[in-house]
Amino acid sequence: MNSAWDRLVKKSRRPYKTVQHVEETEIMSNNKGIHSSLDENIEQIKDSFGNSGDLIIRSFRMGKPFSHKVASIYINGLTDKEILGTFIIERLMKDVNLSENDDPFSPSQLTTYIKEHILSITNVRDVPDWNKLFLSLLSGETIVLVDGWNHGFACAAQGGDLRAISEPTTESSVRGPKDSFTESLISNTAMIRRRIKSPNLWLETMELGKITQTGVGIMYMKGIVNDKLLTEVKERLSKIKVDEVQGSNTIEEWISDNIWTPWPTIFTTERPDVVAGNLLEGRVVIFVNETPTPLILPATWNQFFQTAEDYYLRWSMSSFLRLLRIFSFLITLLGPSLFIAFLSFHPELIPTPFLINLASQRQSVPFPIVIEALLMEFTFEVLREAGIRMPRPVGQAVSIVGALVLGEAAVSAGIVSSAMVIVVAATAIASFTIPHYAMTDAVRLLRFCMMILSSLLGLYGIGLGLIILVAHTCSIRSFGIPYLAPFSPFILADQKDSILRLPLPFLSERPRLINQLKTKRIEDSQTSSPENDNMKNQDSKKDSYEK
Amino acid sequence: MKNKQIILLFLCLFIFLISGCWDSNELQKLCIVAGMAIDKGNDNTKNRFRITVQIANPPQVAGDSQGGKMQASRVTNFTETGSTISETLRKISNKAPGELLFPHLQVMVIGEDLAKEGIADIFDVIERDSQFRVLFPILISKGPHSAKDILEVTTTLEAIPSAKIVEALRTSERYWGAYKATRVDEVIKGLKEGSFPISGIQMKGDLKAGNSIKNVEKISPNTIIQLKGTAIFKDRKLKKWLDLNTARGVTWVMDEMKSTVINLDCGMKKDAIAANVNRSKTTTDVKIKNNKPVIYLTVHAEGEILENNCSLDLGKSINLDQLDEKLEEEIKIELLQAIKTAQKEKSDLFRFGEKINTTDKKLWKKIETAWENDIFPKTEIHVNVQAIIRRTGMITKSYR
Repeated sequence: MNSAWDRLVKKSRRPYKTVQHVEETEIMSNNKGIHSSLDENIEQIKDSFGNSGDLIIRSFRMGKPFSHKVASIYINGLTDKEILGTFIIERLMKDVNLSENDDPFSPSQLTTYIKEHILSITNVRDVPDWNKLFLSLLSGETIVLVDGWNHGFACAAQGGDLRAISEPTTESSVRGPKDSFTESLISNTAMIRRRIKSPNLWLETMELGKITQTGVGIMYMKGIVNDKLLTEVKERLSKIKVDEVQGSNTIEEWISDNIWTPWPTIFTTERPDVVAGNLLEGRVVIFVNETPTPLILPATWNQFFQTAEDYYLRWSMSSFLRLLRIFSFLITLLGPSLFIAFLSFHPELIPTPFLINLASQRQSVPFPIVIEALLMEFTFEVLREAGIRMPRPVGQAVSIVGALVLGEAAVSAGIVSSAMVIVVAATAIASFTIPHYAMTDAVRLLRFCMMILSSLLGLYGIGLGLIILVAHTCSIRSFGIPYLAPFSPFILADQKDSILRLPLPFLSERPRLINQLKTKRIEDSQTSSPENDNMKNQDSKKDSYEK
Repeated sequence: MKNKQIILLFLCLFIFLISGCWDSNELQKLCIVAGMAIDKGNDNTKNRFRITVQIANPPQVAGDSQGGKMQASRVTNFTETGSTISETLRKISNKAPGELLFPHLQVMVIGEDLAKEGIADIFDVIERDSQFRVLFPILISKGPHSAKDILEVTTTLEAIPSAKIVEALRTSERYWGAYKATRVDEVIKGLKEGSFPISGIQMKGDLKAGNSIKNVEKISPNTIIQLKGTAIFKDRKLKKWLDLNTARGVTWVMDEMKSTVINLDCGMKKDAIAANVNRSKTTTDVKIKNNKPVIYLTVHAEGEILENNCSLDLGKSINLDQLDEKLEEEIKIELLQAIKTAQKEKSDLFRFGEKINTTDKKLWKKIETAWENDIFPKTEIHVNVQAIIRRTGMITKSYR
């Protein structure tokens, strides 16, 4: 099994191009240690930050007799000022009589005292050098510097305004949980922790992006995840040497197996329950700070047609819905191209009354059918883009113009035939049933390729296009896992939860290929049918009564 | 290496560009041929055929009349003569505005004159040219009008006359059973033997009045077209017209009866009871006796009483048994009539020959050449009908 995995991974690995980072300006240049003089330190920080307005330096004196100079430094907006005021500054200023026996504290004694007695805050760390100090400061921690001591304290008082947990916007669900990820990495991982209370849920954090220092968390279930997959993920992540990591998409594009494919090879979601489910199937999740959509990998084609809701509905309904989605995927992909092929190459395949009807509609249309189709599809794409980008209050105007002017009026003006409007509309609506946005986008582009092929070669062209598409899809992999699994390679056991979803008691094994360590997810005694269980229970009850 | 890939990619692209679109056609520029009529031409060399094509006029048919357009006919016919069918059809492009599209051909009507001379020459092009399908029905126009005239009658209820003919044929086949739709492929199958039945079609009324949109403005049109008769072919030539019960007999023998109504006598009153036959199965068995084939036809028919205009009590099983027997008798007469006529015309249109071939190959090899002309007319054919009346309708007693 392992050797097979090796082979898969080896094939998929694409040569990485790493951007040669030209070190023009060393951002955190000062590797010299922290001075012992507080004033010098403050000067240094101010210099480094260019005296930024949101850098707040509060200097004061502590302790009665000796009046040690202390400063707390934080970035305005990243800290919780209440915690800062109550548990750091107030404690430092107000408190203590340090001169019990008139013996002046040495700086090291003093700092130990501060750390162990004064700072009543959850987490206090020593920061020995400037790099660490700046990173802590920029992550929202409050730095406390003491005069005469060449270290600093980093106090966990992060805060500031964060978006509250809200309902998912792109993956809504009727019965399932209604929370979705926010921009904060920690609150996101906490949502997973709440769902999986197991110490085997491991989270490894790192910073990516030479300038942005974006927090990235790799989460997986130890014992379920394939270790080779994990090493592969870490290796690929370690090769990202860029200045900025803006959200998970940067990472997605850097680590995905094949960027020259229309298909998305990494799954993203904004739902914690989806992440939890995928973790338990043995997948690896990459959280990125300031991004509400973590990456889930490896991904398979099949996955993009499944929703969280599938597991909250009855199995029969979710199986039906999955079939429906595959069907509307085909409509989206092939609808306009089939229409073009039938009308311009194979009019004999259309029933006669319908053909006469279509011919009569097209009597006044001046363009060839391909141009007409491309025109309408293009118009629809424009409308769609406008719908996303326009300011909200203009929305109504656009929808009126789109629906009335471009639909109704274009037909009566003889620019397009009404059948074409129907085809384009049906295609558009069908495209919205594909649950995952990345998949919808892929199909949107492929649809145009198919239309051009069918306008050149008719059904034969569509056939050719599909052959190329399927061959290509078979050839790509996501982190070593064949993208079309479990269809190619065909895995019988995984069919239970692919196009159909069988009742949960039947889904006793985790998907193959993705997971190899612990394949069973239902205990053997549990796999018997519910009736049998009831019988057993009754029997055992009887036994106990008799006893 | 990289260059090679790019060149390959471009070559692939060129394949599409070079080969693409050669048979692409804009729909509105095609002339959808709905019907075709083939008549005998003036002479036997240059104008062997006179072909009429009926082209649908989509906006008129679809009822999509936009304001200001004049009311035009729903179909347009173009006629041309020539010595081969392909040539004649190509000549029509002098008159038609676009390329003729044949896959949607609904019906082909062959003139009686041509049919009498033989129809073999028509089918080569139909099977050879990929444009034609072989699943449309064929009809023979029964005189005095030509096939061209048949397609020139405007019709109501169905916008395209050809479509109306086909629909009438289908309905008749289904509910009356006398005239069946013979598809081209069936005719082609029978071409070798040369014997087959094809239903006929006739125009009733004035030709000129029929060829006008005024004809359909009337509740009772002046001119109509109707199915009439079954033409029996021998040696690919029209030999005789059958009609009424004899024509229905052909359908019975060929096991193509779907449903029909048969009148039964009730005591002294003739044709007083109507029975609907809604299920029927005819089996043909061949037995060889003294090196001669004997043919046994067995008809199993089921039916119900639709109408009872005499005092017969249908509640009594003895009466029903009598009716069963009468029904059997009636059906048997029809079969025998058809068989007799076929034997008289020496035309094995029922393709009994094939059955003999499957039963006894050696015998068939021997008699094959002499079968139609010498043996078939003298062959013993036994008909056995078993009919059962299953239901008597919603009431038992009649009002008598």
